[in-house]
Amino acid sequence: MKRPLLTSVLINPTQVLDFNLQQWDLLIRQARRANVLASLADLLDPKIVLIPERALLHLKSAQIHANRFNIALEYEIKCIEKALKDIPIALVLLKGSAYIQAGNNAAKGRVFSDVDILVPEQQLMEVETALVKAGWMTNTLDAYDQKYYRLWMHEIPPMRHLKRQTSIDVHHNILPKTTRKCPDVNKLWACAIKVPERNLWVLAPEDRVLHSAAHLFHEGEFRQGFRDLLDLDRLLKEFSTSDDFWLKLLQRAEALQQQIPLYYALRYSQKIFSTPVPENILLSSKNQVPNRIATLLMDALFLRALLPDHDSCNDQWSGLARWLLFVRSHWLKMPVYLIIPHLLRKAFRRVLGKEQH
Amino acid sequence: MAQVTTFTTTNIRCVQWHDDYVIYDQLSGDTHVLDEVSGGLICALSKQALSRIELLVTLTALFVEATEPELESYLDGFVEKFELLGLLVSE
Amino acid sequence: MNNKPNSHIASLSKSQLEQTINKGLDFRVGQFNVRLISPVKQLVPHIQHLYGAYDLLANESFIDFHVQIRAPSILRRYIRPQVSFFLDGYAPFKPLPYLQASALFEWGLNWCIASHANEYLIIHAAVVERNGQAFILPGTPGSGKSTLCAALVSNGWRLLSDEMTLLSTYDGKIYPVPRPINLKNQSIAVIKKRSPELVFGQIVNDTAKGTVGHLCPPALSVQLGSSPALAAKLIFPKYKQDAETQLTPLSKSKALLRAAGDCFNYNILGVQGFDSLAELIEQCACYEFHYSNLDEALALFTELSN
Repeated sequence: MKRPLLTSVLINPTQVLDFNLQQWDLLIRQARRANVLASLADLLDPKIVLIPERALLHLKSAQIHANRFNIALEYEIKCIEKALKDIPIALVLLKGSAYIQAGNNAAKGRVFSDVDILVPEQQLMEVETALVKAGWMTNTLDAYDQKYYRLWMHEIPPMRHLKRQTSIDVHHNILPKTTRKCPDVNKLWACAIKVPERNLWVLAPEDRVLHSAAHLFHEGEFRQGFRDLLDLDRLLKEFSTSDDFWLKLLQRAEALQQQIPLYYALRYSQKIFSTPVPENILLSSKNQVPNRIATLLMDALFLRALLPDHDSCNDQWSGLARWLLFVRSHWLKMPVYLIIPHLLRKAFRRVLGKEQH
Repeated sequence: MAQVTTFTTTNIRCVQWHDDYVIYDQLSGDTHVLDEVSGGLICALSKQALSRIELLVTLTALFVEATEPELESYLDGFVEKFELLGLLVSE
Repeated sequence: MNNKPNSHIASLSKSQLEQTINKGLDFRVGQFNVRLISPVKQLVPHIQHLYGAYDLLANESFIDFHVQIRAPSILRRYIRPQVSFFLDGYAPFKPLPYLQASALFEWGLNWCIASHANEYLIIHAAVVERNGQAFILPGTPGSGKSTLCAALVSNGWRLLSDEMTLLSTYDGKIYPVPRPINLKNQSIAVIKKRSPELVFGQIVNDTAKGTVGHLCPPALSVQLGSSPALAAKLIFPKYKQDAETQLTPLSKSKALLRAAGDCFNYNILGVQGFDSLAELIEQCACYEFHYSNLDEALALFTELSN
């Protein structure tokens, strides 16, 4: 697969110095489709790089959105803290919210739709009740969907705030209960780190990477796949400045049973973003994988699905690759006896226009 | 000496036209239209922190005929309302 | 930034236009460069009749919005045919019946601008200009803003936009995005009766908004598509049958609050949006306007702009 223009620029921003208008046009379009336009804008400093006026307007427009998003997110987190202040739990932020609070490079220009938090399973009911009291509401779901979430998933159904129309996902683990290799969430809690001067926590750096990897490589829909892999690239680059990071990462992957997602994360981050993963680490990661994996087949699928879903990045197999990974994600999340009826139900609801998840 | 509680606003923008004040709350993104009195107080507080006494003095100048209990009661209501709206914090 | 255009869309014959739209028609709409790609034959007369005065772009221009209109699936090309609007492969809306393709193009392009141009505070309002004064007419459905806008524009006022007022956060000016004027239901008959010489596009029935038609914008308004204007009046129109023509001053604080509620991207712009809107309100005389008689309305507006 040819490397997209967007990826080349993300790896080496100075490339744009030689760009003509067509290339700028394509760059902006790929970035918008991949939902990384604001991140790209942050990389390209107009004081250093001469950006054509029209392209600059699109970059700035995305930055305005991302800047406002950051402020709104801060407000949202404060509202969540307030709603849960009487419950004696450590409020752990996940994914994008965590990157922002921890000041990670992956946070720059990142825009996302939900706040994700991790709470102990025993206190889910209490947390849900407190959120409802403060104005959040579970989206209307039928009995099947409620059961899907509460019995099988690692999160309760998404909740939406009535007034602000913002969403919150309350997790009790980072992967569904039905996953064959579900991590022991107590290990995550044990290593969580407090955000200075706030009553908020984030996962340890290695766990942040593993969560991102677990989420991405169990995922069925890859609309944010490129963006999520870019997160991994940035997290790895940032954390690997610590001497013992790589070894800790390998050890943690064993402890949390996420050897396969980690291997994929390192492999595809290196292949797509040229992330500087040391060769011996990549080899150790591969050796850690408990079973054989069909690397060639996975390459054929992931090296397509993880690119921006844009005509200039897709080939004739990209649609099939994404569909196969969609089926795979359900196989990973659910035992066989649950998959077929679940997939049939989703297909039926999609036809009726009722499918949202 | 006892610590004096002062009031100040959160990060807001104030615009005034005659007797009307419009306030923009930069954190929540909410826009409020306020009357002459509460608008005047909020705008003053956005420029500097004021103590309860200082606020009462300002109110006395605006409500010349009000009694002290009436002013205290108004101020209590004002503080409660704007703390709830997230526009006012006490230190 | 300015590519000298070779000519207007009207310079293309119908068959040339059809071929070009199939491959990609590049043209300028106010501040934006648009590429339209579509195999839908129905769009050809729509573009031909309503976009004749628009500039074609030079080759290799930077395109702001790559727009496609096509069937959402192979099935839907033939069975109860539908069309979807795509911005560069992304479909923001559900598909519509094939016959509504032209209306879908207009709504879709509105969405593109409203969602991707945060250098402007975008008010859901018509904006027209006379004697260097821009009048902004915010409109909720039923306010009659489009009918009023169409009537003004047919009487010599410049059209900057019938749907979206683009207020620059950099210089506080209103930037044009002249487009065919979207009229609904009885408004179409009213305007046709007043000005039978005006060119309308296809009238589409049974849309979500009822019967919809588009009025060709004056060529001069299209040609002045790069020239911004300074806002002078903010007028909230309200059509009511048999109402007296009445212009009532509106307090600036109320005007600000109402206008904020009528913006597409006020929340996204944050404090910059508030500052820009406050400056606009400061600069404009603000009114509520009740009317039922278009002639009286036109006379009053003419007087206000003298």
